Amino acid sequence: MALVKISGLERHYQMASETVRALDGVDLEINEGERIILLGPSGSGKTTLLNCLSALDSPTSGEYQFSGNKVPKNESEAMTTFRRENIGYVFQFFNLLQDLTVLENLLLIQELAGSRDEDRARNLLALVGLEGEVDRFPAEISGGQQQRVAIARSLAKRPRLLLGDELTGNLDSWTSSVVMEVLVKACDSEGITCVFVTHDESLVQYATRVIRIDSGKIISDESGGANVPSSTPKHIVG
Amino acid sequence: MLILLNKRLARSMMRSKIRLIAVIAMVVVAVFAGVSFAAYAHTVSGMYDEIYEDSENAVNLPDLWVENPSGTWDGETSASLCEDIASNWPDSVLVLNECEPRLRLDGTMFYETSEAGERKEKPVPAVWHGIDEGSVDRVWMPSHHCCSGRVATGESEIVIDARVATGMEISLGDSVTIGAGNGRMNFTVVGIGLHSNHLYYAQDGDLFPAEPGTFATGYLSSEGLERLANMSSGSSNLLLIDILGTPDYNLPSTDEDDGPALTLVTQAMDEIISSSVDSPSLIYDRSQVFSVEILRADAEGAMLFYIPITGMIAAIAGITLFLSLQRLVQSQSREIAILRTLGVPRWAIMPSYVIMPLGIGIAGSLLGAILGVYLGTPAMLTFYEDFMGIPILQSAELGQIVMQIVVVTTAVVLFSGILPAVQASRLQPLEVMRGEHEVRISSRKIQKITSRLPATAGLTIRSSIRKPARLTFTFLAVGLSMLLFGSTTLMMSSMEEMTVGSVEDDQNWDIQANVLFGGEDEVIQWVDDKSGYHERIITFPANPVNDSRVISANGMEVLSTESSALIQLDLKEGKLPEAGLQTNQILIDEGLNHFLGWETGEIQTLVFGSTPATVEIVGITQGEMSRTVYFHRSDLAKIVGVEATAVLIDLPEGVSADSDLGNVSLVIIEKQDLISSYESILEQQQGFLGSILFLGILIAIVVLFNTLIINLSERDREIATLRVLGAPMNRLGWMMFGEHLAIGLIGGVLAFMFTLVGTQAMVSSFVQWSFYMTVSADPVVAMQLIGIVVFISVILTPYGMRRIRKMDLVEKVKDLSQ
Repeated sequence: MALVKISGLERHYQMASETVRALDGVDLEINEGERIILLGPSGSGKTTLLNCLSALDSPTSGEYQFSGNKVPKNESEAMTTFRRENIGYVFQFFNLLQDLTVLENLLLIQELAGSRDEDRARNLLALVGLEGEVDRFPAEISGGQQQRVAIARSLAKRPRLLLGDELTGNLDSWTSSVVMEVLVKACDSEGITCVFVTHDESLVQYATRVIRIDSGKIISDESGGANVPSSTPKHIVG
Repeated sequence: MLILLNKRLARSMMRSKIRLIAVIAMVVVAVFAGVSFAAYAHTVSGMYDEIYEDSENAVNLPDLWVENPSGTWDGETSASLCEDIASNWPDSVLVLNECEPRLRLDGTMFYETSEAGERKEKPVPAVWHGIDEGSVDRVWMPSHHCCSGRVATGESEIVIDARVATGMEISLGDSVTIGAGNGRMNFTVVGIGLHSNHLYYAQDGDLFPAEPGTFATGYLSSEGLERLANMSSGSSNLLLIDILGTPDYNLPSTDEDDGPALTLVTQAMDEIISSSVDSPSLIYDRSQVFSVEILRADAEGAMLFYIPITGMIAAIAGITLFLSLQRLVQSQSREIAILRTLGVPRWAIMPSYVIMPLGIGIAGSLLGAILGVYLGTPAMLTFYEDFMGIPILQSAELGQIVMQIVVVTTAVVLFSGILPAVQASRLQPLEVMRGEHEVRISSRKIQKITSRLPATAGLTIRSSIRKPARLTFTFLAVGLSMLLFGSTTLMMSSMEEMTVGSVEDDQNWDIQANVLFGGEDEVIQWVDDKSGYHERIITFPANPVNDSRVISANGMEVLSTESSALIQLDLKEGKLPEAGLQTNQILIDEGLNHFLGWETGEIQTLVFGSTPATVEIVGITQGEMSRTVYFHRSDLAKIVGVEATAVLIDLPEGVSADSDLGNVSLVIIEKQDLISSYESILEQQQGFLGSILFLGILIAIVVLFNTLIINLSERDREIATLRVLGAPMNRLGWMMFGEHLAIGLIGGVLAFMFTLVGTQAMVSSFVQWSFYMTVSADPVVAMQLIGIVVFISVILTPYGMRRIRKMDLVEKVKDLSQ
């Protein structure tokens, strides 16, 4: 069964006198373990789709099912609960909490999800190669390291779907590839499904599937450069 | 370009209207309070001098008083004393103008009241003055609706005090029944006026003005008072000495001698009087006349305090504005960086951030000045007239005062904008664009301390103290604003404890009957007839050697710290005196310990008139407002030659004072009247003090609200991240509640400490010989203060929650990705 099933998804915005159709009838199914790259020009609707997938935004119309269940919309707390239980999110600018150490950034998310597990947090940091930086503050490590902390943070509560918006957009190409490799490794080991929005065509090599979007519609949906990982996660962490 | 930049900033400020209004409102309050207090201070300080001056329309206050505390001089002695003074006047720059004998007696006014529809006669304590048509210390009858009629000239005529006329509803032509120790007589009211000894209308030794109907004073002709007291013509117990002009005198509020010439004359007078009469006499200047001194001290205090009060509120406004501008600069850092990148020079950035506080200062000051002149000043002066009962004939010229306050306040507000303006101009475009200007590495020490806590708790604590300077300023501003509230509450609580509390809890008598010397036996007989209990007491004036300040020497039948005693002493240190020793043992009050430095175990000398007495201090008592020493009655009687000046009476249930007691007493003071009088005064003050309390709380709300909102808006990014990552509202709510609770608790404790230190400093600056009090850390007030700050802080949590709930996460995610 597909993890995500979307049909006829529309998201309209009222801008002054005109209606902007950010998503204009999107149909999409995502299976567990897939790593999808969403490509498209600015204003094509890829971030809006990501927002709808994460239940940050409510679609104007259409169906969105997650693991066979209808995803709540227009109910702030139910949407928050859905995100907390299912979604991991990696931002372009990391958005780590500056007053918490690297380790505490992970522990905070676990605490919010109701399951503090320091061993898992440490193992995740080791997985992204930051076992030596656990007690540092975000401002004391590099941008690439911060993004790896953000990845570990997004995995800390065992999400089923990991979303990333331009997550390497702020990094140089060498650091980008390090971050993506870490991400792929972590997601594979955890069996987490991923959807990443990017402008960067070079990231296609890390995807099992590449979806191109324009004017709120999916214009192509093809296989990426990577293989679909085995359906059984290795769960090497935690 | 500058105009456009200013326009941009003005529009930005308008976006946070509440904060802008709050800051302007605080400037308004500062100027309003400053103008109102200043108008009061300037009006009253000038007014007293005008009332006392040697002119036709004023009273010509004496410069020295010679008092016979243990009886009266007959007419011949009075005249010869004045002659001796004139002929032996010392060689001094001060020239004697007049010596006028005067008779002043304690007495009773028989006042008819109506209780439950029944007419009842109530003996009210009174003071009667026999005034010749002399040129010294005249009755003051200004052209004001308070006063009317003429001075008393006939032997059955009386001028009653304006406060008595109002309180007892007496008019010109009415007949009043009065006594002075020997029966009673009727007098016709021919005038209503005021007298320098009773401008501040309180009973002798009482700090608060008397409640209407509980105290009376009247100004008779000298023949009238002699007739009332059955005394021979020309009898007196006071000599009023008037010196040409108004010489400087020694102010009790300063350490040095402010009137050396008058001090020398006083010493010379002491020798003249001692060599002329055997009876002990007191010689003092206006600083020892309670009403004159307390009004002077009040005016001096008002003059001293209006500038700090204005400055304090202006400082709070300044701090609030400083924090708001800092936040504004921070939120506009990108705009500033862009402007700088586009080539706008540093000097062009800065003026806008300086002009803004200047505008706020001017707008707030103008509004505050208008409200102060047209609302605050009339309200303040009306409150003064109602509370004191002294007419204000002319209020002070306000133009200069207003200008002074406006300039000071605007300067404080302007100053608060300078640092944010400098910070704005120094922003480095590249750092801002990289977001480096916002990155701060958290304190490692705090991280270690909080590392064992849950990450949510750690985050709450660390983000609260992320900006220690802001937090410090906030606590400073909250502390200052709560100082207004706290000091008023602490003072009220201390006052209540020293007045109502001390009489109600520490004193078990029902009536104090003051008697003429030797008149106590009739009162004791009355008590025995009523099966009551009595103790004789002596209250006699004394003073330290070479010091004219008056100490009340109390001779008590029983000196006790037991709660069952008629007067329970609160012994701070030492032990109770033993009676009958060669050197009399005494207790002194803590005020004497403070002003004279007298300690337990010391041998000192007290002077009763001109009779010195060596005493051993065996303990120090606390709770007395005026300067007091306690003797065993038998010891004091031997020194002053008087067995009793009053009888304390404890009556059985259902028995009360009656006319018979009134007829055999000089003055009757009922404990219940005393308590009601204190309560009534405290209640009267509630309205005025209540508005100060309200002001303090209001300012604290604004300050805390401002900071907590800045805190919240600064953490939008952090909260949005947590929301996107699935943080539930209730969890964020608890985090916010915890933070607000912690800020409230710390702020509350600091506010109390501020209050305690501030109030103690304030009290120590205005305590003086005739009024001494201490302020202690009252736990009830502490809880109140902390509770209020915590409440204000915590009550802002729902607002913060609403803000988060309204957060547009989609927009925030866009921000997070930029």
